[in-house]
Amino acid sequence: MEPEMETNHHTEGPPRKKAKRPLDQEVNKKNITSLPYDILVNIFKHLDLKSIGVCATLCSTFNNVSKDSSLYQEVTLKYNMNKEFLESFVSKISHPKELCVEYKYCDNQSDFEDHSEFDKFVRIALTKCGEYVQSIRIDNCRNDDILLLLSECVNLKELTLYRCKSSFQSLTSITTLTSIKYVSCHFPQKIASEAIKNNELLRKLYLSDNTNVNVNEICENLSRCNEHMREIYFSERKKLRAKSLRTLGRLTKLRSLALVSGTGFECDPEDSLEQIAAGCSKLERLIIYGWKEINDDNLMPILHMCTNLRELDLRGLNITIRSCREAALSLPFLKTMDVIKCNRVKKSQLAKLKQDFMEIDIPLE
Amino acid sequence: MLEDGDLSVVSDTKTIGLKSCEGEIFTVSFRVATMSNTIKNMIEDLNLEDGIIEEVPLKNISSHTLKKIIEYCEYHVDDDPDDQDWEFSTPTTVSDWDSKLIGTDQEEIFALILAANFLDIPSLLDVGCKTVANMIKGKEPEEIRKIFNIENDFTPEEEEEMRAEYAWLKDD
Repeated sequence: MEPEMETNHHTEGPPRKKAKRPLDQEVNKKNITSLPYDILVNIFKHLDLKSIGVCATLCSTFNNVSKDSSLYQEVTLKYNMNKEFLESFVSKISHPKELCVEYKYCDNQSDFEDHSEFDKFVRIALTKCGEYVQSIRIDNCRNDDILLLLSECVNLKELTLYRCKSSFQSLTSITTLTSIKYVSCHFPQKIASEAIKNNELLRKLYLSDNTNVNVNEICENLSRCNEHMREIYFSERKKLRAKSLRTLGRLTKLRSLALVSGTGFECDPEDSLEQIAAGCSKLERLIIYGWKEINDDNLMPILHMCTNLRELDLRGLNITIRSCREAALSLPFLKTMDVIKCNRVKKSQLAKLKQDFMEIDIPLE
Repeated sequence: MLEDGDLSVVSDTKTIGLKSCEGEIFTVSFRVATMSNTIKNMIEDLNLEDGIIEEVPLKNISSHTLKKIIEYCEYHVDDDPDDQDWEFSTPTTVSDWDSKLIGTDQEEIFALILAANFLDIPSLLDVGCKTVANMIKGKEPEEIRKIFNIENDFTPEEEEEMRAEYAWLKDD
């Protein structure tokens, strides 16, 4: 009798009718907690840590999912997180793929704060990263010991440093990077260009407002050592020479080139843009901001040869409406064209162009 | 008459019938259908590359869901996989077109996610999971509980333990 007792609760009597619902599983689909574990993990992957924490307190299914180590592959440590959180969190980390570390921003040496407590957690996290971490971002770090741990991340692909200051000794031993972004960092002489060129597989380079970065040397190194380059962004104080810029024409895979304000330019662009047009035929985005000596003739080769261009930002150049019209006519994929602050382009001319090419986004002011 | 061996041209002219659980058959091109890795593998494993496949029974997918999936695949069939790491084609959020297709009805979204999972269409599965994550993100516990009708099944002891572990949630 006993087995029957056990099967009693649902199957007694005639089969239940489910005629209205064609799908048996439909019953289960109604509630999120009955989705398969892997799918719930996939959903949680798109959540921030706080939201995952909130979900963990709702029910045992969610609580279980929240413990999956694959959710802690993107890790952010902030100086102002409380100790209990950092402790529970750092213990959950295993093999993170992305690590982001934020120290407190301090303007000058005088308001320097002691971060030794926070350093401890950062050190654990960085040590746990080892050969697994692929992407690291560090903000406002002035601790040489911490930055030296970077050299142990032997498979690091993306490195972002914001407002860091140190000897950066570890940078020269890293050779695996595909993406570099250094902003407002204080480098010792020579370190930056040495460190960059060692990464043969480099695809993206973003340099803005650093100290002791020589963009001319970097351009020449890139064209010799880094044939995979896809994106370049320069906004440095050091003057960019046409002679250095023209060497970028050797980077045939380049998709995006940005030379923006802050970067000073040598007066005459010479044939640098022509060389880039001839070499970088896959260019999709070109940003040149504030190079007052560039005229229609300098720009024309780009507009004729880089037919994959989708985005043009040419603010503050010495070009006329002729370049703008030529761009609109000859670039079939062009989506946006920003030419404000080009003094020789009249607003009325631009408004007319905008009317003629409705599909292109052309800001008027 | 097709002379060259361009697979995309050939597979546009060949079709496959997908049969929903209600028995309704939807005819789609090979190119669209093989956005599903499950169907792609099936065609390759069974050497069905030539000729027309009249029906593949999909017993756990309703007509309503299948229609949406086909619409999704037809819209995205020309997406270039090589462009994945290039930002013009990789929005971090769900695109307007996708979110309109997916809608807001939970039951329908879950059905779509399960079907995308079964058919192995990674991009659609991702869009579905992102949509659900966006419904959770930044909300208070009670709000989420209400939206998804989630029952609290913790024992008092577990509750107590959790209060300590997640004390940091109340911080900011």
